[in-house]
Amino acid sequence: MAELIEWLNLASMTTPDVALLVGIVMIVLLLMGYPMMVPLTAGALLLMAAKFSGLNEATLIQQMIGGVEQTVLVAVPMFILAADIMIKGNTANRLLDLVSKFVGHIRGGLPVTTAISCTLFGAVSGSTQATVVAMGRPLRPRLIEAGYTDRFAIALIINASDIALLIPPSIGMIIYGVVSGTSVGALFIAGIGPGLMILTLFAIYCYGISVWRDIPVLPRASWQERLVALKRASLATGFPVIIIGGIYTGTFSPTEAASMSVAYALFLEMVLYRQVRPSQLPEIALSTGMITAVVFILVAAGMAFSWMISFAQIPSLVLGDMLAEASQHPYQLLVLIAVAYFVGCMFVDPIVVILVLTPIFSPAIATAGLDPVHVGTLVVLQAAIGSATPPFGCDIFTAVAIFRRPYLEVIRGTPPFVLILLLSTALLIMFPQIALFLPNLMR
Amino acid sequence: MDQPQVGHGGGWRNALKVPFDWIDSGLDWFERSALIACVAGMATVTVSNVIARNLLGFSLQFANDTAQMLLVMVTFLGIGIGARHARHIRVSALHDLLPHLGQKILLVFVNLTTAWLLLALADFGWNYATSVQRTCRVLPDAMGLGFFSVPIGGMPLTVGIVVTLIVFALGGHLIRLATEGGERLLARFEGLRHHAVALLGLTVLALLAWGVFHVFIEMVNARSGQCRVTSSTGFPVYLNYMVVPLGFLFGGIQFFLAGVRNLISPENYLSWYQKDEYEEEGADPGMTGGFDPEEDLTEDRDRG
Repeated sequence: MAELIEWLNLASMTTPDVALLVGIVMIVLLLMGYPMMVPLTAGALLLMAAKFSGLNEATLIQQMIGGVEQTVLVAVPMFILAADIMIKGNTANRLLDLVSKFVGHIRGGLPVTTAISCTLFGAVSGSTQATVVAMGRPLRPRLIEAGYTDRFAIALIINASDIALLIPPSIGMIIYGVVSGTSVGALFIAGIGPGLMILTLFAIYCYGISVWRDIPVLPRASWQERLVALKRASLATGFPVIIIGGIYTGTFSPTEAASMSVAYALFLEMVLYRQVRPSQLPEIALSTGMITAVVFILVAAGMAFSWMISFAQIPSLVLGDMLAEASQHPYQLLVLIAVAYFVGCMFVDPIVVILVLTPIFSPAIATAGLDPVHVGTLVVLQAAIGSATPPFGCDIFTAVAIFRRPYLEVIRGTPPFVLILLLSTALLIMFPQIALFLPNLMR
Repeated sequence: MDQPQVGHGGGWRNALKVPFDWIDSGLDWFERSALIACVAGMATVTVSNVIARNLLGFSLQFANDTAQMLLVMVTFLGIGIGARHARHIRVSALHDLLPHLGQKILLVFVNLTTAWLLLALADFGWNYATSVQRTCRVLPDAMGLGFFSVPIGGMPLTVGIVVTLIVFALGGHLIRLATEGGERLLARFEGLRHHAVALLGLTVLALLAWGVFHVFIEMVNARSGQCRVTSSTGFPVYLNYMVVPLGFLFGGIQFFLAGVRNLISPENYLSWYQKDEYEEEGADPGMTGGFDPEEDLTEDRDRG
């Protein structure tokens, strides 16, 4: 390693040159298919070797541990656990049945059902991946059977599941809140407006596709069937009450709301629905542990990398003038933030992007006098768009893993959805009240 | 999935298979049990804390610290099991475009270099944990506390790693034996009795764990009173940080095995057990994918 550093003559390079080299190395490693934690740690180690050769590598480990050793982050595995319990149980099917009975008969009813069900499940689980699994499995074959193309079905499931990033509980918002020091509760409430706006736009697009392809409508459910479905799903709607209501009234912190979601999910699935047996709990906990580990090692590596580039003062050296200029013009800054997060999330996991970019933009956001809750919502929306956008949006790879379809087939249907999401971004920048209306009611 | 051809080759391959399988299944049991226990522990303390605060009017002081420690453990101990199930998030776009041989070469290179990096991080993690440990007045090594410090601290690195793996594999097999014994015991009862015995067993286990934990803490406190501890639990933080090198070690080994498996098998593998493959065209789209951690592995083991 020392010989390599000497051969590359890293010590004599200027900081911007080292930053460029680190960026190139990270992108190459990413493209080669390394697990995402590798480019992050390799980038941090390279930067350390080049600019701070006297620094002990153990410092990096210290930053990694510090990155995950935060109480509010415990909310993330708890929401994942609640979602895992619901996936094993019957909550997802009951929600799906409810939506299907009410909107299934209209033109485009099945894809609209998919979009609404994904949003609803996002509202009870908080996890994009869990939503893709819970809703994608039953809905993809039904969409294909109804006459929609597989590429449309997969793209709809991926993008509708991404609404889970905006609708509370949102893992992206928890991470943003931790890094920026913004109220996670306020962020949760602010995500509802943009989430519903996107859902409406998706529904309009689904209607258009259905008309264009002349897909036959499903039979209309009777009111008796609807009431039965409503009764069956009524208890599942208790999750938003616990999460949003608990945080809104100040009864629970986000972490406590997450743990109460677990308790409620267990109560529903084990006591009332009797769909989950005690013997299944270890398997559920293992699934949660594995997803948590895969996500949190990125949080740890992202925190270490973020600390390293801040320590080397790379953000101010590379973006200093641009940010100083943008901070004088709030709209320009919002567009810059949107582009930076969008592009970042096209390449790496949204959590990593939020961890790395948020400390860079925070001073400029404060100088420009922007509402951090509005910015947080915009950031999470960009994370949602970027992570569902080719070439490297990570949700595409989640879909590749879950549906086991080739990458190119998975991305074919995504462009129209990305355009809708970009339209949503423009609306959110122009009309901050879309996000701020509900949090302002709380104040 | 195909098993590697170790069973059909020469005597040395068969000779390697037995210890490999023993360590592999032992470590798998240990990692799975640790993750399950940590997630269950996190849920239990956080839910109990909310209930205690809202219904009984007091908070559990240790809840936040405990949940944080468990989160650190899940994060790092999960690296290995995530690698074993090929769950680590990666960008496979260019990989997918390559021919079979190109993918194999890339998989071998990526997995072996990832293993190298993780083992280096294990070394850094070990240095960090021991630097925190050195702030204690009396080193717990003197008492033989902690599996890590005994093997690695006083032996050559490779021997230390092997001994550490054997110790944790043994721990895993003990957990397996206890679990299987418990299942056999429970199978004798039905209905309410089954649940009552299960509940009783879990309660006894929890009390036993609680007791062992307290004895352990008392021993550490008695010998190294000046260690940095978490404020509410009194648990020395260096012991929690020891999971960092352990997790990177487990992860490094899994990535190394993935590289080796690609060298010895005609097919491409993302991990020792997980093939690099997609769903066949026209297969039932509702029956694929998901997060079932038993998927593939169980099948592979059964065949093995």
